[in-house]
Amino acid sequence: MIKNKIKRSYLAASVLVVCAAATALAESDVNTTLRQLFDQSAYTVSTVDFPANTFIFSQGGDVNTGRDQFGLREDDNTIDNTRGGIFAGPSAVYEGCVVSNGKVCASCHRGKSNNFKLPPPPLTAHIPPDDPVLTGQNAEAQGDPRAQYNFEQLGLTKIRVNRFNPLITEASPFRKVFGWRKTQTIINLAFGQSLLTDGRARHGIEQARGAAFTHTQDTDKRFDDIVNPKLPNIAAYQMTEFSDPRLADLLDPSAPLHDALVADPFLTVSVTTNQQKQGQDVFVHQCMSCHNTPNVFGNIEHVPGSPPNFPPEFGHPMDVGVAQQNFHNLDFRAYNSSNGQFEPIMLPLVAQDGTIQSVTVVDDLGAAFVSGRVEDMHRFKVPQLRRIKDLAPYFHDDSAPTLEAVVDYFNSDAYNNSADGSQHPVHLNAEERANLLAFLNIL
Amino acid sequence: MRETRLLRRPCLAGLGIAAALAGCQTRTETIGSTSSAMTTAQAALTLPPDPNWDAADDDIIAPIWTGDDDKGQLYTPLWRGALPGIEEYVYTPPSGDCTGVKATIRVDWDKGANTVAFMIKGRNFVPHPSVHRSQGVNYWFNPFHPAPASFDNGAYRLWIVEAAVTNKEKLWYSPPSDYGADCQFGPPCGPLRATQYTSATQPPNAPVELQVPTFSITGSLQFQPDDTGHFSHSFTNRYDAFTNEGGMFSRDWVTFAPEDLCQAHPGPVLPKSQLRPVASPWQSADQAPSWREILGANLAFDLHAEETADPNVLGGNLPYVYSGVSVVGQMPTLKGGVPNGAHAVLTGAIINVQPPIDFVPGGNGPGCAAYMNEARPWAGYPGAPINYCVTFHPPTCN
Repeated sequence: MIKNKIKRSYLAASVLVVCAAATALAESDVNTTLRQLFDQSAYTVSTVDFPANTFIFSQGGDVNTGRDQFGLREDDNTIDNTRGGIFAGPSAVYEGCVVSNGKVCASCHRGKSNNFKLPPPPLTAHIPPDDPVLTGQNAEAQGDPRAQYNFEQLGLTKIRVNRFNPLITEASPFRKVFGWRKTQTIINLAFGQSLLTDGRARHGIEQARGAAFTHTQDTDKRFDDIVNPKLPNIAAYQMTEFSDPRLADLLDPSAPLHDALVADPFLTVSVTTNQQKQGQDVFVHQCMSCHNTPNVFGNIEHVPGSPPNFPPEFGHPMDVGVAQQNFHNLDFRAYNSSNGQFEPIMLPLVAQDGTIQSVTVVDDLGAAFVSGRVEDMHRFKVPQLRRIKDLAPYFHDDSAPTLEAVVDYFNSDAYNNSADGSQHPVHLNAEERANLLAFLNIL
Repeated sequence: MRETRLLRRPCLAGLGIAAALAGCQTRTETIGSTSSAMTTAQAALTLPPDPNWDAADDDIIAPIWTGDDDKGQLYTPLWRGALPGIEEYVYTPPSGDCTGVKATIRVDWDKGANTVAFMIKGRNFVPHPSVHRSQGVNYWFNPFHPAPASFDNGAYRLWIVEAAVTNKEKLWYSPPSDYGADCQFGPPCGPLRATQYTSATQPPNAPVELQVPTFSITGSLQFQPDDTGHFSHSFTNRYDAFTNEGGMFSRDWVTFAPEDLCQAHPGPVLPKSQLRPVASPWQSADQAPSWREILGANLAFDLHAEETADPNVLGGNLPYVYSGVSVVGQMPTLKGGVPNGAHAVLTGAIINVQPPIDFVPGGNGPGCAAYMNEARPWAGYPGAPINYCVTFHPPTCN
């Protein structure tokens, strides 16, 4: 039986910088303090349960139908957009006829043999030029000339995260903001406590809906009535793709392996060498304060209850400093298709104390794009780590080409001085680095 | 030590307006203490609830949770306009100055002792508040929530909200012929006649049934601030059956739905459709949920001004349940809660679009103004009513 462990936020008070003599706090200190107040305000649990997945399976989705609508044949590898995966037809929501560009989920999540992700960039080395995934980029990005290059050469898609919010105007900076984001694997999606790179989707149906709309061409109009009937199936299919079939038991407390998988976080990890074992020890001490989902190694923290009950954030995204590095020197100015100009985006974000900070977007603000909060700037979901050796390139922006580069980043000042990195510091010597890499390569 | 911080507030409503910050007023307001909020508030939680407004109440700017579902605490600030419901009127003091309007709630629950203890405190509240609204301007009569447009010599009441969708409610509509409209896209369309909570059976003149998500609220009894604008109100309920204060009723089911399905877009309910409150009558006490259920259902607070109730009638409750005049509120299950000067966007939450907060129109300082929150009394509001039964033509593909 797993006991609820409520995060006792007040116990972290010791980290607050409270200077009785200070009459004013430097702005950075104020922001740090506000961020701590923000973080410690959430009612969260570290219970090993996955209400997002539970919710999906209550929606009546069919896995095999979902595979068809995902755009894959029974082999889980052959892309086929003739089996119900396209979104087209008359739509009352769209108030017109939706015409498909031929793209399906599997156009980007390219089957099991590709770990349900895109091949390594440049994509043109692996994907035929007439593939819908390449031909549709320009229209999806409303003619943004950066989109085709960033997709082909870096594997990054322009994601306007609030593009389909009909409650805010097209002139709103929240409608304009975007990230250059990678295509994530769907493997072990069922264990995500929030989905999509910034964690804005509470469950698989919202995740699938977001992904489907993302590839709308030339317009921000929704077509929910076409998409919605397929979402439970697609979500159900995605929720059953596991890196190891034994992991399915984590979802069901009555399953034979459930308790063992919870009790032994490394039960399904085959450690065979001394170096791997030492690497596992390094992982436990340096990585598991965040990558703490047993046998999956995402982040387990979430609000209690069923995901649809709560506004985001359902999980716990973190700022590890990667976005600020902007390794690819990505441009985050808005593209004005009417005059071909790039224009800076000024985003009004609310701080915990009620002040409003106008932030010029020069890098990917992550969860702040969707929460509207200063304290969420540069935060992204903590990813799962199974099959990590096969999932390169890494980070939300494909900025680390190898696992070595990932480990070196987490061992750097950039990480250790980042907002969440400073709360979970990582310091590795050469031997620990090598051992950790040996362990990561067997996950 | 209190801190007075410079607050910048938007001059224009809506996060969507890029120019909102340009030329905005800068003002000073004491809302809380950044440096000591956590420490004083945490310290307060180690002590019994203090009925007097104290330093911790001044300082707290974010919710604090301790413990777990069985035994724990919540201490949270409530800000003006932070969580008004759809079509609620957000109250402004006659002075037009909302500076310093703040309430706090402390909840201590203990399953073993079967208790849930509330301590509600406020400052800068107007004693005996009056509200005057005008039909068609900032009030629209609603037969499914017949709260009055105006009242004088009012009082305050806290609403404890299970904001999560925990139920589905049957709404029964008439066909369009009753409305004299041609329903070009097929039924259902027509006026709302009854709900499962207002009618034991489906009325024969309302054969169209819809099931819509609904949430629930339960309330305190009324309270009144003193001449200085401070109030303190406490009560203790059962953990295993969390009724309203006094125990006469359990809760009220509230949903938002078109009053007339001809004003409901056949595609998206939002943002193109009418959406009005539909409140059930009070439910009997034996329907009360446990506190654990409430904790798992997106607990939120909405403190209202309302007409003074006769304590000898309905146990001090009002027949239409809630007034729809919101003063302060909070959604402590939203990470960080709702900061001062912002409000939770309920229509956005319904369709899960972000950001989940927007700015309080006019801000919460000097010159604050009353407003209607997310009101959709007609489709296409504030433009002319739209009759989709007439105007909507199903799309076709050639």
